[in-house]
Amino acid sequence: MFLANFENKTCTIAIQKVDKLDAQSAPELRSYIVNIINNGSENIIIDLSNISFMDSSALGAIVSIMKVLGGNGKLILVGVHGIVLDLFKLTRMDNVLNLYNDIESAKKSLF
Amino acid sequence: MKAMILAAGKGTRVRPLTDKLPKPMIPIIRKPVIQHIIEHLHSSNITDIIINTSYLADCIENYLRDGDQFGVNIAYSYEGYMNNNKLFDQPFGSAGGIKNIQNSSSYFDGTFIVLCGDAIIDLDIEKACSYHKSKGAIATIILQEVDKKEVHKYGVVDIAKNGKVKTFQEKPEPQQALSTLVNTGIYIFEPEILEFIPNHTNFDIGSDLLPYLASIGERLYGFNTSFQWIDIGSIPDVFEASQKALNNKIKNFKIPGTCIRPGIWIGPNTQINLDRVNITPPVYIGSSCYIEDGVTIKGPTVIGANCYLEKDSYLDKSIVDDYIRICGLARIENKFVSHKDYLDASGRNLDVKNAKIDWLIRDTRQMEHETTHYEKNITQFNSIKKAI
Repeated sequence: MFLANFENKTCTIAIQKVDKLDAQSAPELRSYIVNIINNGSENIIIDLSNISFMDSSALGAIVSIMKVLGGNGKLILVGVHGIVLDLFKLTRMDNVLNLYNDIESAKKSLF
Repeated sequence: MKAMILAAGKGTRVRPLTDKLPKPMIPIIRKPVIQHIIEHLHSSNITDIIINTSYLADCIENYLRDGDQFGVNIAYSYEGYMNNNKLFDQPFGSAGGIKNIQNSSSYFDGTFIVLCGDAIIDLDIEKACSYHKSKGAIATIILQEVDKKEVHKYGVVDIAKNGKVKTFQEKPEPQQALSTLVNTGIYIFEPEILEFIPNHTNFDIGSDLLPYLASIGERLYGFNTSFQWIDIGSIPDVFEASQKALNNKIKNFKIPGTCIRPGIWIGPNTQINLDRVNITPPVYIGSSCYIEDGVTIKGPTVIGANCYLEKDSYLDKSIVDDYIRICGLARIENKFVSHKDYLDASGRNLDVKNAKIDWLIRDTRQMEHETTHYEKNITQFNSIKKAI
């Protein structure tokens, strides 16, 4: 479901085969990424361009990933659109998240 | 003169607002569109009104009742049947609905006006009738001139110099349009028109009856007149009409409540300390609301009755339905908010229950602990709040 691509200390994660992050898939994404952080990746880029629906549990997972990263690295979300973006704006999470249109510009902001 | 209001349609273009409300009942600052039409008919001295209903008929019939409260007499023609105590809607089409009424009661006994139940208008009906009579027409379509690039949204009518209708075009591309005059869904008819409507057949005025009359050269005229015609046919229309009403751009529109400061209207029994909220007009807040200190409301915004806005909640250019409680974390911009919908003008909808955000936006009557995973979400709320 998740495909990780490592480059320096940055890991880019693509989400495949699912178009929603909910109570089932969000915790899986969370533990997948926490594991990657524990293995030494400092920056995490999640490509959400395939995700057309997200619920409250996915917000929880993202907040939790931010906490694990602490001040040591950056969490970047890419391709956030539609009602997923609405959800981030509604909860004001767009103020604290790093949102980019595509992976290239996300990487540029890091390197 | 008698009037008929067409109110049987499903209003699919205004979904999800029409999931629970028939289109004529969509409120613009708390007043259903159909009530505006009835008030306009009343001010034009038309008091005998028949309404054909079908989809969510009860909603219309229970609200308008016999019309006494509006100074008019209202009769209904329900299109459907009951089986095992359940109603099954079976609309006849707009022309079929007229025929159905005439077949059962011979209601139409002189010149009558037919109006769609989904537009706020200030048409000079007397002037339109004089035109109709002067032409000796059996049917007159009230037309409105629109911008050429807008014709693709409407039924275009091409008329001769003397006003007689030549032909129709349904939603043409601007370059193909024969004219910029469009059908407003308002008609003046003679009872003779009924001879051209078949019995027990779904028959529409705009797409069946009028093209047929034009094709046989009947006395069908178009009256091109300038008047206020605010069509509520889509979600963006609802946003636009509410904003126009708040900005005083709809003639004869009286905003309910008390105007306590320029551009701020508040309903009775609402608690708000204007010195402790950040409020930018125009804003309407319904009755029995509670607005905590520290809330931001930027107009044009409409807040329904019995709402509760928690400290720090932020609303900008939005419409909030009745009985909505908004959590302080929420920042709502350009949205229509109800217990189930979080909708923007393009029709994009975030389902509040599905997204399990009913801890952010919920019914004021709902117990806190009944919202989705309340305990867990309060923890989440606190951690998001800490993060931002």
